[in-house]
Amino acid sequence: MKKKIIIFILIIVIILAGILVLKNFWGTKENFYNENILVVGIDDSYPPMVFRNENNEIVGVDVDIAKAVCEKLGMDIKFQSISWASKEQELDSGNIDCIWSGFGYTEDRAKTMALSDTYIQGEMFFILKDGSEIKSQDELKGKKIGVQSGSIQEADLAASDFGKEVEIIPFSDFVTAFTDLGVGGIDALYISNTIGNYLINSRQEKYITIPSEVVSKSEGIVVGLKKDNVELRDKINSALKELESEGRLKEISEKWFGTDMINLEER
Amino acid sequence: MSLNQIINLGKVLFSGVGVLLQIFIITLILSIPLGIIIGILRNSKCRIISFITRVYILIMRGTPIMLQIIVVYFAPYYLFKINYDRFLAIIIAFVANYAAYFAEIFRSGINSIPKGQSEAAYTLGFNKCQTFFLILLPQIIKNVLPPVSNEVVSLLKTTSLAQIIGISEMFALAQKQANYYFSVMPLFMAGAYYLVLTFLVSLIFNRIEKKLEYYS
Repeated sequence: MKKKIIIFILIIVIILAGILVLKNFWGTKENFYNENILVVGIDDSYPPMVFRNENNEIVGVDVDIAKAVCEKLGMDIKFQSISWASKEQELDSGNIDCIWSGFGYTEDRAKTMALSDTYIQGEMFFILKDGSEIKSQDELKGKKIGVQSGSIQEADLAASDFGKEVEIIPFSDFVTAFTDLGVGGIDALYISNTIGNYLINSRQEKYITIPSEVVSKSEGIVVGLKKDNVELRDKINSALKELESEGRLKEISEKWFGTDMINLEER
Repeated sequence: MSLNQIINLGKVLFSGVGVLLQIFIITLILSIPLGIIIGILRNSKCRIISFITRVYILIMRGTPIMLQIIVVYFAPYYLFKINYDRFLAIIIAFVANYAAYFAEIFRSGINSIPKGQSEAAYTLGFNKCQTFFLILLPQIIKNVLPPVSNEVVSLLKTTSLAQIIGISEMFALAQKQANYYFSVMPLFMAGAYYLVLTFLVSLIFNRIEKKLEYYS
């Protein structure tokens, strides 16, 4: 008798677990077919473009811009955090509608995705510890340089002649990278100034920067969509134009960067 | 970091503990019975069945769980053009992986019981099913408890891999908060949470072990 009760309880627990799983399953299932929700793939550890604040809310430049664009288009928005290393698969499989997270334009990406107009132009530089004796890019040869894994900077560096003379250390997030820079695990961090300046300003320690001579394939920040999703791309482009002429983009940029870094350019 | 920030951080991470426990409990409930079944099949006299389970265990233990998660989540799209929920994917990946480990543990447990016991049970009129559930299983459970608790504790920490497919469990939240505060404090705090959870799990296992002591 006792055994039967235990088995009965076990069965109920398994059924409950199944329901819990299915509930989650159906909950998101709607999004796949609901055309009026824009599912935005984000890397929410990328301040100031997209990050989580102290209350775990998703905030940042791209979040504000994406919300403004969706408002213009009359769409609902849903942010889905993704692993940056598998962003292409996420987009391909339709789990997200677009990548909107400090996503840089490159020719390779333009071949495989539909990219919007660029709206922010970034330049690359090296961040070093304050008091470092290295003063130019040439002196960095033979040193260890940290980059974000899967980023344009990593690809640029790996493709350049300079990159062959340094040791490239990929990091999944910048806290680890900065901590490693602090303890001397890496000598420099190769990064875009859009995020770099914000990171330096938000830290207590002092850093110096060296301009980069590495040829970068990055030509500004864009929204990445599935190759055949041209319709949505055109809608986003026209919404971005409207927002620029209304001065909304400038407002957002000044809120986060302190300056106007908006530079809307057609692709 | 100020005290207020730390309290706030504690709250944020606690919301991630919910997701962690969901993954943890559902995976355990599904993978242990599956592990027992695979363990029995692995002992099967039928060559084909035992071969299939051996290949399964080899693949599950022989490839990184990180890869398994990615395959489980993305492969259905490339094969059949369907996409599905990431939470379901992580459960499938963890259950498939942990069932393989549990299978080996339970197989060793089954083999540790002398054959004479089942023979004696058959002569007393027990059928196969009764023999397994009433006579063998209680002893097996007692024998395999320590290695099972090992796997359970390791699962607790492996849940942090759920962030590969974008599930915001506790450690992912900690990393994002670390990015916000630019401090490793959130990571240490996540470590403390894991420690507490592990402590609770070991406490439960100690209790169960005590309860089963009457067999010896």
